[in-house]
Amino acid sequence: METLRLPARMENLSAIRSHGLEQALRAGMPEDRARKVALVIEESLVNVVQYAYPASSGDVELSFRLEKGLFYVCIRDWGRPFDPTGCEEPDVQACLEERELGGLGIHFIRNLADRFEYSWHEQANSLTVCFKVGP
Amino acid sequence: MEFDSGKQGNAVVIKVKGRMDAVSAPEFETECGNWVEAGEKILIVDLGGLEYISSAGLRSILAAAKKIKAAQGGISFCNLLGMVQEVFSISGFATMFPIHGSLEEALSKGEPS
Repeated sequence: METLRLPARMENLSAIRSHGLEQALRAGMPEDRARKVALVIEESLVNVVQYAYPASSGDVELSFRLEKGLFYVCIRDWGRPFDPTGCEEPDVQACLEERELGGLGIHFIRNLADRFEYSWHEQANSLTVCFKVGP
Repeated sequence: MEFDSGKQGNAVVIKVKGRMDAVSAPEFETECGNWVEAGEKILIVDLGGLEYISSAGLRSILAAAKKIKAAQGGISFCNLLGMVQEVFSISGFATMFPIHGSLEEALSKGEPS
């Protein structure tokens, strides 16, 4: 499993997401589920760019591990503390007129990952998500 | 992401291909906005060629839909597959918008709500 560290910028979105997709496929995940890993990685990166580095720039690091049939992705940054697990849920029942833009990224992470944990450790935000590899 | 758009009867069919992510999503809003500004009221979006969508894509769809609604028009979607379908259900978009199994079905329903 290869760790990747790059500046947390939207221009690196494609490279970061592809790397995550490739690691998930290599871990043995079926393609459709690996795409969900890619989605969770995109949503996490967007949050890092928006909330951890709102006015500054810095790196984001992705590391991966496979343990007892579970594929773990750890996303770290060295920006402002930001805990996405504490964010409010969007109202997904609202009608078009009342529906608000935003809030769905974290909703996807929460619903697609089998685990979603946050910690602030050694001056870094650390988000761990995990997915079942097999059916 | 690529679009293949054109009129079919009184509706505009927009076929979307590729990935709708945080970088490309605003292009979708622009594409729909151009048709609405040209006076079109019925948009049918064929997502059969879309292999990936993130929350930024849904945000763009929602912004476009609000614009169409404000112009007394409507938008519907067809051919949702795999992760695109799942993302539509988890987000509630599958119940917020008219969704059809095929383009033919979407065209036969006439005006989307």
